[in-house]
Amino acid sequence: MSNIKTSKGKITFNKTEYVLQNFTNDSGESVSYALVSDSQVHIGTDKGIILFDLSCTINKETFTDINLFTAALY
Amino acid sequence: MANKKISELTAKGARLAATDLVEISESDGAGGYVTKSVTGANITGGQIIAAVSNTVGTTITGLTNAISDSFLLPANTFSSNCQFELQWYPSRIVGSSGTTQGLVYINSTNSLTGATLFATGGNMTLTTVSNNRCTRNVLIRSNIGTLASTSGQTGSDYTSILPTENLPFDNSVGIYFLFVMNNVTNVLLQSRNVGYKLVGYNL
Repeated sequence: MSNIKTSKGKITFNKTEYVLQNFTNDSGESVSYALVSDSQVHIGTDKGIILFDLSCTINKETFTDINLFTAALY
Repeated sequence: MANKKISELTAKGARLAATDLVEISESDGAGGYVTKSVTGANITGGQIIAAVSNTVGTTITGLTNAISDSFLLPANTFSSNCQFELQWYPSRIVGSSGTTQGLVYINSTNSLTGATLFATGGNMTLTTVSNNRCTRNVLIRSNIGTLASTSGQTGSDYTSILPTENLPFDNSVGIYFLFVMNNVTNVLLQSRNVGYKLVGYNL
């Protein structure tokens, strides 16, 4: 199980650091994330839009709800 | 090769690579010929056919966003400055309502977790079987890509369109292209990616 480490506007995953930032969704709105399914979310970063899912832990914590998972990233 | 017919040689069994050598007889302009070699890149004009699908992707069913097909772009197929075009063909097979998109992600592994969104195909809403030929022209400068907005739902980029201008694309390592079908709007939806090709040039 892959872990995401969070730290003040940044996350680290697979030894790569991502700076969290907004992206423009298909409605033209600036958003920081977009839910894709009940278990997946698109996260805006300086390295593009990254898909994370509930197979990941955040700071070693396991989640079963994508909304709680997403909130824990910010 | 001496004393052997071409038909007796071991078949390469793969497409011509840029560094392969082919023997030719170069005309000297005076009726004579000089034996020389040319590279695969000489023959193709530098065009690199990096991937062409030869199978139909797995059918993805409703309420999921999952990989239908994928391929590995081997390391160093493209340099840090290159240009290529990706085409892919998502197909909506079944569904009386809801929308389907064919998305493309890139990743260092054949997995969606941690993958980077590369393109979002146009919505497919027809209740009959429907295909959507999607295309993206991609310009890579110093391992940074410019292409149509990765999150914008559109089949083609043959129009004025919001760009993504900072997508990391470093082919010094292998890159998986993941063709994903998004059927999350209806449990009855079924779809799949039926083909892809990636063709480009190093600059």
